[in-house]
Amino acid sequence: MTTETHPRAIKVDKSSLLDLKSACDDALKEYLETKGGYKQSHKHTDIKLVLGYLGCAFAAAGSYYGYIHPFELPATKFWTGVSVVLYYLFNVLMMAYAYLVEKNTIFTGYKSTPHGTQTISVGSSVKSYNPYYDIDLHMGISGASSSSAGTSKTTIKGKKSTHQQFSTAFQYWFDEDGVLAQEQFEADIAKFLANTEATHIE
Amino acid sequence: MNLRQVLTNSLNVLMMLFGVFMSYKAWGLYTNCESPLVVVLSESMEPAFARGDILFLSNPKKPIDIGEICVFKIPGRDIPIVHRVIDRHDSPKTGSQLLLTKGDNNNVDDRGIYQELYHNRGKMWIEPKDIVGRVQGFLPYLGMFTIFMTDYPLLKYALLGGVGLVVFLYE
Repeated sequence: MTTETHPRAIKVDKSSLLDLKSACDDALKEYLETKGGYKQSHKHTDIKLVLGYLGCAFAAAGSYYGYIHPFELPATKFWTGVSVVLYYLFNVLMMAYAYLVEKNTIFTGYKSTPHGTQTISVGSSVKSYNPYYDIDLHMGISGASSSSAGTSKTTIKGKKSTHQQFSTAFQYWFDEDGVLAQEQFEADIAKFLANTEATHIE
Repeated sequence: MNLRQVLTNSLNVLMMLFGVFMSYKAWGLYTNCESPLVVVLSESMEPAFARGDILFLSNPKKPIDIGEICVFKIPGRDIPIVHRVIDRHDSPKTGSQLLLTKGDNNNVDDRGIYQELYHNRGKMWIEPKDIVGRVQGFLPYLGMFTIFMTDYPLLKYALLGGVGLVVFLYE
């Protein structure tokens, strides 16, 4: 079954799970920013950039010091050693951050709603040789809001967060040419978001 | 491409380069040798070492012995000379040594080289401080790559530029 290609259709090699995942990641991020109304938070990227560049700065400084001072002096050897250790330390910290904190996150963001500030963190993964797109959806809502007199509006105080996981076969979103069915994808994502949001409000 | 993507891609390239460079420095510290990797440039040590062989160097604390192959580099000149130690005189009090080297494939010892390169007609010996490192192992032929890069600098820049561009764009 082929879908009609609209001007900004995403087409991928459907035999590559990596390409399929990347296409879904990009479409998901775009959906959240446009129709979802979320503002993207670049915290993870920024922290990794800082750690990485700091490590490179120490490496560069140590290299320069080693270049202008003769190697035989104990001071040179010491500071060269320090810069090597610091470089690898920041390298490890950066990798640790990616592995432990960021994990499979592809989008974090926030938006203001009448109920408070809603935060979202979406992680995506694909298991080896398993053509399913696994979504890890973390949503949170924080801030107090009041209910208007007379109407039964929900009151949230403090912070609440929920976590849901969804797994969809790629076959539901990609046709035989590898074109992503935009409407179907967005409809399903909207469903996942609503499902997770609903668990906030008891 | 926005600023974050540019920064991230640049960082990846930088970290690859520094990763290699810092490993090299760490190896230098471990072997106590400023440049633990050298390439043989002349045929003076044949048949043991040929032009283009990569040598692994280190600088252990023990005194240099006869038969050890050493690399000495004249200050200010980039060319390291790889020859064998054929004579030594040790000073038991100070621990310093006087060393005479000769290339296996040469007919004469290196005194001519010492006097020419050190601009000193009386220089008959070299000392451990002139030694960059002692050979611990080698890899044949792989150093020819470096020789090509030095002989044809255009190749070097083209390669570096090409690799950098590919990594940057395909990240």
